[in-house]
Amino acid sequence: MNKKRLTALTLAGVMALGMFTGCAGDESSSKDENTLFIGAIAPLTGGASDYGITATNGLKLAVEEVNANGGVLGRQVVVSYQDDENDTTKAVNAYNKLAGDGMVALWGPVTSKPSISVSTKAAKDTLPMMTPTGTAQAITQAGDNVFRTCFLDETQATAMAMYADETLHAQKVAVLYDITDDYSLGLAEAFKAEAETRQMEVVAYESFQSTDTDFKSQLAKIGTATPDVLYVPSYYNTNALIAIQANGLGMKVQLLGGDGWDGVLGALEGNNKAAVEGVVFTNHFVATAEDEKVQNFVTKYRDAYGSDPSSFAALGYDAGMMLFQAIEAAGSTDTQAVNKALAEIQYDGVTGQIHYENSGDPVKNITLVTIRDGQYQYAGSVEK
Amino acid sequence: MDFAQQLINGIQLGSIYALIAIGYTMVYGIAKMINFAHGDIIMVGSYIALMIFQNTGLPVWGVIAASALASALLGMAIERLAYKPLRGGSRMSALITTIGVSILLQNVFLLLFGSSPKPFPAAFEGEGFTLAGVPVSRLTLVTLLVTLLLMVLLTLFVGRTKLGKAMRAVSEDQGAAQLMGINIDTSISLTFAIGSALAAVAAVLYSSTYPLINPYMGSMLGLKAFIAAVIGGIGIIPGAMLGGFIIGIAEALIKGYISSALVDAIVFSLLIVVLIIKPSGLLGKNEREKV
Repeated sequence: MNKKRLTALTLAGVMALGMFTGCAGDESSSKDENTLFIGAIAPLTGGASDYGITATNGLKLAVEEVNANGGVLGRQVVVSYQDDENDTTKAVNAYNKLAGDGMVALWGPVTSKPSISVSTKAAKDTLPMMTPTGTAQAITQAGDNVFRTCFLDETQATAMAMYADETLHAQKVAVLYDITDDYSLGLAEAFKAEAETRQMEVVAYESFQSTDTDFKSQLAKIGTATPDVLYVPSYYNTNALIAIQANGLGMKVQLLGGDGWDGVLGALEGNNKAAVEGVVFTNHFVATAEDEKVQNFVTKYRDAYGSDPSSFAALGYDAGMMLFQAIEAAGSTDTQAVNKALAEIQYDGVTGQIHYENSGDPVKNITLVTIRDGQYQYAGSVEK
Repeated sequence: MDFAQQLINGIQLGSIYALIAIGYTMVYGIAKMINFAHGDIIMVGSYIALMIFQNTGLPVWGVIAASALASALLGMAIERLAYKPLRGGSRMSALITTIGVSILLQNVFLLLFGSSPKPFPAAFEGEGFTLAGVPVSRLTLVTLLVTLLLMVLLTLFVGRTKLGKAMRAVSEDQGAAQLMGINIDTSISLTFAIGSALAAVAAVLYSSTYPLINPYMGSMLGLKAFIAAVIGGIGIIPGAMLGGFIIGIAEALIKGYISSALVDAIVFSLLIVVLIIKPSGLLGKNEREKV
């Protein structure tokens, strides 16, 4: 009896403590004349937390930097980070909370689905919203106040077709894509369409399914069509397997890909790394680029977090910086003025030069990355 | 040339299916149960091989031997702990138990290694050769030779040795075998050990060909091998070998000439067709149930 009561008391105590800790983080969000309050929504826990954490790491660097240089409009930037767990309902709740606390602009959400639902809310309030990494088309169609930092999925496929044509002078192209995945399918279709417009011959257009591990049959078929380049728009684990099997079949074709290739070296062990040597893929950012801004960012990021920044970190940083630059340019925190400033922004960041033309989707150059000596290397950029 | 290439791809995949199918078929033949955890032994074999690769300087043959030994012990332990207590009970409870063991193994490895795939090193380096204009990699050659060698050894073992004879006797009639002084427990343990060891060899060959391993890799692979065993005639060792090659070659040709999206549908339909026309499998004997 006594023991039970003790357990109950302890449990109640833990719950009460939980309530307090739940509120503790919000102290900073109170409105203040000397601070500028920005809301941030990202998946900080759950399956997509890796993306959320690295993207907010980028934002934190941007905030530190701008505050060290005197803040925005002479006020120190304060960010409240809200966790959406990659869940649309939680993202909308987080938005309501931040709006209630009086945020001037919203950074996030990071993933596509929460971004879509939050963008409709933000559009009603005409609150400036900048998603660093949400690639779904619908996000920026919600209103004139919604912007994104990353390029759209299809844009990188057209850019790659352009590179294959103009730089590699490819005449025969082949595509091997995942028919069960929207990302892969979208890229494959966009690449094929652009290749055909450019009078390149699509000699093979082969598909597989997400669960497949054997691609030798498709590769053998592609091999007999002797393409100059093979475009593989999938995720790094699959890409790694495809590259190894193509190598095993003795194929010498130039492999091309999308940003899903980022991370492929981690999916390969030892001598297998040789299979991806020379592949070229489009990406938002590469840490080895010689650009001074990029190197400064990489150094700072390494000092702060002990690892190289990913594309998510770089986009998170640029998204934050663009918001600050726009608010500064607007001269006030008036939402209409900030939205206008964002639409007219000329921003030069770590993921490239960004401006907007009649939509919330950026016009920017797309980075080309190649793998040389087992390292990701900058291979140029495509103007798009 | 394209066709020859597809055929070689199919034979390579078929070799691996055949090695795994032998495990299903032997266990069914001798213990009269379908061991659905067999697919997961492949997964365990791959992780063990990866651990040995990373932590020791053992050459690849040593890695294969060590992984096969460890998997054989695991197979025997599983049989002793999970299946033996149910022997003599209903077949259904044994079947459900094998599914339970399968889920247990998957989740233990999920906890130990996480869900993200782990890269497997390139085990068989070196130049391949060209056969009638078709490039054949070293790995393909090794896979085929290892499979054929193991098949010959297994056939000799089952056909010529005393232990093999005992296994065949147990498979024919457990009761009579026991009366003749054959230790049934030893025979069944040995069956699991051989099946698991072959699965571990297949695991290293498979993981070298598709060098990313994850805790769920055994399910589909196991299922395909099981189909191979049924198509060839479950309980019959040459049937499992034949079934494995049939499935492997069929998959490669379907992918190459029909559609990669329809592969599984066609392979599973193949099973249904075989079961309708010849329910005991291609090499199975039609035995009439005596009433």
